[in-house]
Amino acid sequence: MSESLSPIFAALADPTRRAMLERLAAGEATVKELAAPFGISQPAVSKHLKVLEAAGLVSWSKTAQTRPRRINAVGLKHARDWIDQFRDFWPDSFDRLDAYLNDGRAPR
Amino acid sequence: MTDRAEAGELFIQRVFAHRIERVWDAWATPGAVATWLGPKGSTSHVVEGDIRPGGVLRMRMETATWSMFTLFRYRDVVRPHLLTYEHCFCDAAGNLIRPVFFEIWPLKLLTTVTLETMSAGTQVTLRWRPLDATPEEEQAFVENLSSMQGGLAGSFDQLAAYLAG
Repeated sequence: MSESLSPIFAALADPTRRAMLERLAAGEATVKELAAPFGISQPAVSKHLKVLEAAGLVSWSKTAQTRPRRINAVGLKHARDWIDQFRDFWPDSFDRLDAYLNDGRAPR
Repeated sequence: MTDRAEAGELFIQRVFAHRIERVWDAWATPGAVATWLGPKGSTSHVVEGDIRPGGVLRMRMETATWSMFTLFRYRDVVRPHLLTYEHCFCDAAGNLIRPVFFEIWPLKLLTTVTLETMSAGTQVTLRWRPLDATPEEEQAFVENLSSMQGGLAGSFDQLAAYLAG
């Protein structure tokens, strides 16, 4: 993956960051808690988190001093919707064209 | 032009069980294009429509999560066989922009649509490739074409399944 990809793609391209997202999907976690299972330093975790935060996939709780991170489900859903729609743009359009030609109505 | 995908382009081909003139009208009539173009669940409205060489079709396309303006700038309009146009994203005023989520992306994608009469109906072949793009923009297009069909979408599926579970 090159840096030409958008923040969202760049964030998801890294297996450690995907694993961190999966960990966060199970619940909030501090930097310390995130570092433990991956065998990497806390600064390295913070660096990955910055990328995820910039992509809108992770946010943090301001209530606690340890600033536990949590997954941003809205950001993830928007990204996923957009990826699906981009990927399916022409196949979907051709399906809809077929429906339009067959009965002349607006397709779903 | 070969009958398959060339490097660096999106290629899609399908036979529709209808006469070529009918299929052509679906591509060359602004209101018809707005009816079927776009991903499932999207709706489009024509803002400006004039499908002829040098003409434009500008539409507002929206889904539950996003809306954007699409601008087609027509080059060849040869009824009922060939349609070429620049496919662009634009703002409300018609200025070319890059789509959301892409920092680097070709501003223009050249779309080539060919229609051919076959025994089963009309075969439509569509090709989509970057136009006037920098090497970085071409690379972004190619990387996204391949990653959409492979690993990245797959990892998203896994993550979504995990989140839903």
